[in-house]
Amino acid sequence: MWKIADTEVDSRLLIGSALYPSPEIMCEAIQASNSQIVTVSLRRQSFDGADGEQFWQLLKSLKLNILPNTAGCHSAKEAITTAQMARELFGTHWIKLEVIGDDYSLQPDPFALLEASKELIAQGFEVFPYCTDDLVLCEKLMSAGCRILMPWGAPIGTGKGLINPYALRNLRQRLPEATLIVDAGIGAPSHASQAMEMGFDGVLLNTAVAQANDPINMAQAMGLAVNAGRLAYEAGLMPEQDTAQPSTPTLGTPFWHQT
Amino acid sequence: MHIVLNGKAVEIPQPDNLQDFFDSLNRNDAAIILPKQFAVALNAQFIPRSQYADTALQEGDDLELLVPMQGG
Repeated sequence: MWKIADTEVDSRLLIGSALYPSPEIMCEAIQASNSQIVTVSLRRQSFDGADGEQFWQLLKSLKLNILPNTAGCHSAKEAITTAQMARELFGTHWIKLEVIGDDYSLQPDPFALLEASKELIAQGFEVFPYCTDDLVLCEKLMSAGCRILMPWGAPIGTGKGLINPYALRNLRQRLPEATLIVDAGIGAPSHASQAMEMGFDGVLLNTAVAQANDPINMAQAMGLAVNAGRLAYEAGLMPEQDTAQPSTPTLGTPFWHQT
Repeated sequence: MHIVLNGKAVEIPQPDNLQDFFDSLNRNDAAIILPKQFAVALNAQFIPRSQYADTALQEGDDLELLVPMQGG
């Protein structure tokens, strides 16, 4: 059992709802992952009847925690308005706050992110900020009232894994009170395990599952990897060392090994 | 009157307020199909559902209706 934003969930995996081959496969994959927190978004109504209603009804039927995002926003003002609309539409004060600062890398704008976080927290939101691994930014987000931080592992959709493990490890060491979730860039279950072994509290991913050849099995693999990584962190990894140490006892080595 | 609805210019009869406008979409066989669930921004300001009846539409207003969508 894990408590995040005052809510108890069984899994430390947060999963996205986009890019699946079909709504049905999305549902099966989410269930296979065991995740109980699913990200969603808001978009313009097309007015031709194709309004995402089937997707939303299917997702609602799973009775999971919904985490709306502000994807596509490029300013604090846009993100704040989108968050307000999401709160009414989805009936939750949780918001995955995304404010993009660079269209090529989809890197978050740290200044607008901080500005929007302050305002949304004042309005009663639980802000899950999608941020970079910059320590000073993360400290300022915490000072603004963010209890949860979601630094990127790598740019969204790249599947490159944790491209700066040093910075992520540093965040974990320096911000022991924060709930830290690696968001974006995860491509393989081993990446998710690596983040969890570092002591991250959770992992949020989407593309790695949705774009796998078999999203349902990949979702299960990701869920298992997150569990394995967390178990390993709690068990405590052995210290790394540069010289070999025999694992088999040397006492009583037979005479033909002696020179 | 003319307004911009989700980025497209549309001509509509002058409604008394936002609620009146949405009710008219539900009544008519218009090309515009009102979604079951949506949230509204008028000129980039969020309008809570509770304020639809108190919010007037003006010529040239920019109205955004957002619906649930897949997201990562």
